Amino acid sequence: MVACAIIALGVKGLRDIIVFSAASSAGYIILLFSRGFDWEIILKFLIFDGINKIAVLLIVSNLEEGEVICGADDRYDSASSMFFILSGLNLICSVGLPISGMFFVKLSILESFINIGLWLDVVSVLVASSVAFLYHYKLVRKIFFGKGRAVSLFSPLPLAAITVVQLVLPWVIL
Amino acid sequence: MSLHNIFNPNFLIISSLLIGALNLIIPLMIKNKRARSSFMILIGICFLVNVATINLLFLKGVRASFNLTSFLSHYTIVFHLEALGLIFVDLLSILWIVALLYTPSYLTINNIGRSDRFLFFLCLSLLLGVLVALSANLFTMFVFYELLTLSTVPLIAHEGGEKVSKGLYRYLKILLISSLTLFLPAILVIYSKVEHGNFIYQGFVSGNFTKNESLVLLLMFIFGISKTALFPLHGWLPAAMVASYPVSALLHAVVVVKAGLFCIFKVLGYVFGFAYLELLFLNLNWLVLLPAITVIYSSIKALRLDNIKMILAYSTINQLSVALISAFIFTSKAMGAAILHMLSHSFSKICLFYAAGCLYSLNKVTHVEDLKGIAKSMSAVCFVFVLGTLSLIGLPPFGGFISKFHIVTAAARAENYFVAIIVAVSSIFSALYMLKILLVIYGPVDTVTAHKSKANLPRVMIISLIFCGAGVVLFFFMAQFINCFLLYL
Repeated sequence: MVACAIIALGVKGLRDIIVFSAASSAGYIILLFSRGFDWEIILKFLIFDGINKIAVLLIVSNLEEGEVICGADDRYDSASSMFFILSGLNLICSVGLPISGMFFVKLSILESFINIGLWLDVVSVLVASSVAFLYHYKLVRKIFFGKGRAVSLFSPLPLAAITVVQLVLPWVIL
Repeated sequence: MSLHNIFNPNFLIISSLLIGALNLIIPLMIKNKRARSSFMILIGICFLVNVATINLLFLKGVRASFNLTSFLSHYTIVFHLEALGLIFVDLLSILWIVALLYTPSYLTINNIGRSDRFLFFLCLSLLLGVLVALSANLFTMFVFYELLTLSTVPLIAHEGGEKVSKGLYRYLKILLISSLTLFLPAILVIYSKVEHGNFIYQGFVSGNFTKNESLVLLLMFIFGISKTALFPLHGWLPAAMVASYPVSALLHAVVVVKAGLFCIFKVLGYVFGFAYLELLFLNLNWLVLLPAITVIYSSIKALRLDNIKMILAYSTINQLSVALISAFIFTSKAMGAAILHMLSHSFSKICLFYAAGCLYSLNKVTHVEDLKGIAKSMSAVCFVFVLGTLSLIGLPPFGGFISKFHIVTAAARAENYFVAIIVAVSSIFSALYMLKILLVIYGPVDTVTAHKSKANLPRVMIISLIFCGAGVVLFFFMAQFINCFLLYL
């Protein structure tokens, strides 16, 4: 879990980051299994992690189509604007910041560890979460500070649908 | 609907949030810049009137609490009205109007595009600050504290570029990692043991945790809430200086650092309780060393710098620690003094940032040496800068003097003379590095770089400067009003 997150921090390709991020998530699952967590928490983790990975893959695929125009640039258009908003929201969810579904899943995992007194596991989850923020910033850099043409081929529908799921699902299943 | 239903106390909280939320819609809906600014200022005034009404009702004994939702059974999002929160909401409601007067014109004269997006996130940050202020438990406070950090990201990143990206990375790295690794675990430990994190008068930690556990929790909160910029977690504040002046003012004077101070005050008063903290540090109050080190470090750093924004950033770190050191005396009088210092610093710093922003807008000055003799051409703006400086140093009759006087009095009453000495040292250093700027401003004119006159500044920017200056000069009267609320702490 921690090792793969640290490797994700070191790799350069965006796809490689997602691969090691997925491996880090697998580490979470193994940890939860080995500590005898019930299926409910593991299933919730799998659902939210799966949605996060789909969202990040969609963002990366759009980035590979063409870089977006940054901030106050004159060439900034509505496609870029939509891409910024959707990407920003999905990255917040992927890092597990409030008030995303992954935030609440990690909250319940951490609370369970604290209740049992598994402090090493608490530290591992916190370290992995912190490193996750650091490697997600590579995506932030690419999306928000890239230079080039606007994403003319960007189709907002899949990413918008995933964003709606990200925002609504925590209120339904948590 | 009966009159009682209309004046349901919970309606007070909802109405504030709804009025504040209107200012999120206006930037996206109205494209005409003049009409947009007018509407936003009008809504800001309505918000201020609503908050003033809440103040009066609170002083008459009305109390309210509003439960929004809950997650995982005991993590609830709840808002309530209490004295400390209302003081912070008062500050935000006043400075919201000032920010709305200044910011649109600043963006226009500096040719900064996408003002709609900028104003949306500016108002969102302020609204999230209000939600932090009204939070009724630790979980609610944490959620909105984090959302506040995230809402400032588009503001800092607004102009783009590699330098901004690096600054933003440092800003987020320190704020998010400290809160995720210290602030959140501290909250989880409390919730798992006590089963709630509700803010209660005189706290609830006593009896639930041992002395050593309480000390560890306290340190986790103090370093986890890194918006207070305590050494060595202060680096995010200078890093965020890559943003434009209105954003810097928002970060330093209005909402971000003040939210940090506010959260610490609330944790000290309503989670630990002063009586218990006094007991914890009965033999030796070593906690005051943390802000004391920060005061010395930031003062020396500010003395060695030449960049105007960076000097102001380190000055903010210095002043935040002065407020913290007062709070760490753990008496209600010292806490009152810390709150007053938080407020007076807001007005002093917004004067300095907005005045410096005006000087930058017309002359693109970034370093102290660029300011040579600028007072000759922009005397009114420089006068506001002087007011902010004198208040920051703590000279009478300005706001900084009143709050520092209260801190020294509280320290003397608690026989903690170390705190009084640190406040004096902070003032001396502040005088040294701020007078360095004033001497250049009022020095001989640089013949090479001709400065433009104040006539080029939009009228609303001048009005906002007058408001800021008035806040510093008339702080004595504001302090009288705030004292009414301090009785409830």
